[in-house]
Order: sequence, then C-alpha cells, then structure tokens
Amino acid sequence: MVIIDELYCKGCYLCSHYCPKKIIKPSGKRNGKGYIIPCIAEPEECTKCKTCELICPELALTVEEGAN
Amino acid sequence: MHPLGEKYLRKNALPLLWCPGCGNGTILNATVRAIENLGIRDRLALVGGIGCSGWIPVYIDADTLHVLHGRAIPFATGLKMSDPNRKVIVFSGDGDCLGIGGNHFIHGARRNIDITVIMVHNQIYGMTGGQVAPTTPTASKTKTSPYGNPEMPFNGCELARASGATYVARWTTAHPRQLSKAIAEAIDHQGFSFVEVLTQCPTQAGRVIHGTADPAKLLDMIKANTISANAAKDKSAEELAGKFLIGTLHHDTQRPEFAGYYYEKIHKAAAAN
Repeated sequence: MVIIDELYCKGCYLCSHYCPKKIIKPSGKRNGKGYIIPCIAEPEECTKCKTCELICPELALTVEEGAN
Repeated sequence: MHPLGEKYLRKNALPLLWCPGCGNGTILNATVRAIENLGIRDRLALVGGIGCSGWIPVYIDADTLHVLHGRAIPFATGLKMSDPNRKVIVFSGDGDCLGIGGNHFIHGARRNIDITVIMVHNQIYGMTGGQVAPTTPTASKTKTSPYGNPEMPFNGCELARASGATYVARWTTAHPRQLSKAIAEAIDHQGFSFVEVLTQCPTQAGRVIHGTADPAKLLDMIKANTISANAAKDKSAEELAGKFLIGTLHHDTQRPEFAGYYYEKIHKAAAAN
C-alpha cells in the first residue's frame, strides 16, 4: 500500500506523472502548507513498482509490501 | 516520510527548502538509497558548494561541510588527504562546478583523487534569480541574456573525461533507479568520479528558458533530449546534435588514485629514514 506523508508533500505531482498505472490523482484536500495533496485513487491497481517512491523529491511517499 | 528519510535526514532541518517539483530532492532520495546500499554512513563526509544543490548534503545526517562558492572540490581534496579512509562526496551545481569552480574541477580530475562529484545540471543560476550559467543552451533567453545567450554551453562529462576523471556518468532525475545505481558505483570507484545529473528547475530554468513551470513537462523535455550511450554508437552526428548521452560514459580502473599513491610514498620515505 502507498502512504503519502501529508506533512512533507509539496504537490508537485511527479509521482502521478510517472505512475505507470496512472492511479495517483489530486485529492482536493490541502495540507498545512496549502498544497493540494495527491491520493491513490485505485489502490487495488498498484503493482508496487516503487517509481513514485523513487521520484518523490520530498521522500514523502512510501510503498509498503503486503496487500493493497 | 519514507523510512530511509527517517533514518538518514536531519529532522530539525526539514522541510526541504527547494521549490515544489525541484529535482534536487530526487537526487537526495537517490543518494540516500546509494548510501544505504553501500552501508558507508560511518565513514562518510559530504561537501556542498553554494547554490540550491549545495543544500543536498546539509539534509543528510552525516559529517558535512558547506563551503565557499566553487571551492567544494579543494575542501574535499583536503579532507580526503587528511583522512584517506573517508568516502567523500561533493554536491555542486553547474555554476558552482563549471563556472566559479571550473579550475578546481579540472585539477581534481587531473589528480584522480578519490572523491565523488555529483554535479546538478539545471542549465541556470537558480538561487540567485535566473542568470545565464556556463551550461545554459545557446540562444536561450534568461534574465541576463534577454536577446538570447550567445555562448556555447559546457559539456561537463566531456570536460571531466578530458581532464582525467576515471569514472564519468550522466543520468537525469527522470531515471531515479539508474541514478542511484550510478551514485553507488561512483562512490565505490577508487578515483575521481563524476556524475552529472540533468535536472528540472521549474522556478527559474522552467519559466525563463523552457516556458513552463510544470515539473512533469520539464522532466519529459529533459528525457526527450537524451539518448543512451549504447544506442548513440551507431547514430550519425546529425542525429546526435543537441542530445545528451546518458549512461556510464567512461570507467577506468587502471590509473592510480592520488591519496593512496601519496601515502604510499610517505610511508616509503619514512621507512627509508
């Protein structure tokens, strides 16, 4: 499962752009800094390729092993 | 925060000061992974120059130097000579490494001292407000070249190789897996290692040179402008014009390393007396 740290995310959406399944979408929710944070729209589609985790400039994304 | 971030970053320095979508964070991410894979945290020394990229080592919780503009390589040379067991990594921007510190860079490469230089190439002086840099493409409009840059950009990898660097690689922040692997290889290599990272600067280079501040679009542009070094072998000069070669461009394990050579001589001289 993919965990997005709302405290550190700056809403650049590089994770969303590089997600091969395109399942990371804007959530419409703002964090404390005022950035619109992303969410995992279809968690069951995630293949755990970890591209989002590697590209994240804030180290705010974590892909955990186990069930989605 | 990612568990590796929890493990390696200075919590009191967070959040990272870079603009949203800046590639420096991806390089920090890749470096932390390389350090974790090599398990060298205890004998690590990080040196940062001036500029946005000079802040990368500041966030890593290890021995860190943040030094004068362009003088990261001389400080790293001194550090390596005084403590040759250290793994010294220098983070430098394109202006810091090729502009102000250009002379130090070529002499570091010439000596083949065992330091790893990670050059963040964003085509512009970002922190100071978008002035023309030694890597700004010809004819690009910036704040200090409003009618187009008349100069030719430096090719950092060619310069490093010609100056005598023994490990030269180039990747982009759109290739985080390969980048992390290249950084680990560069740290592991005995000799002057140079990794150039093509990266997006949405605030300065993006808006001023490329006409978009969207980091994803900028990264796509950078990726489209590269070609793998293996694929480039059977391409003509016209097809390669303006393209950046990516991959490991040079790897020489034969040349002796400077600090090791120097200490060997010192021990020999001491034994002779």
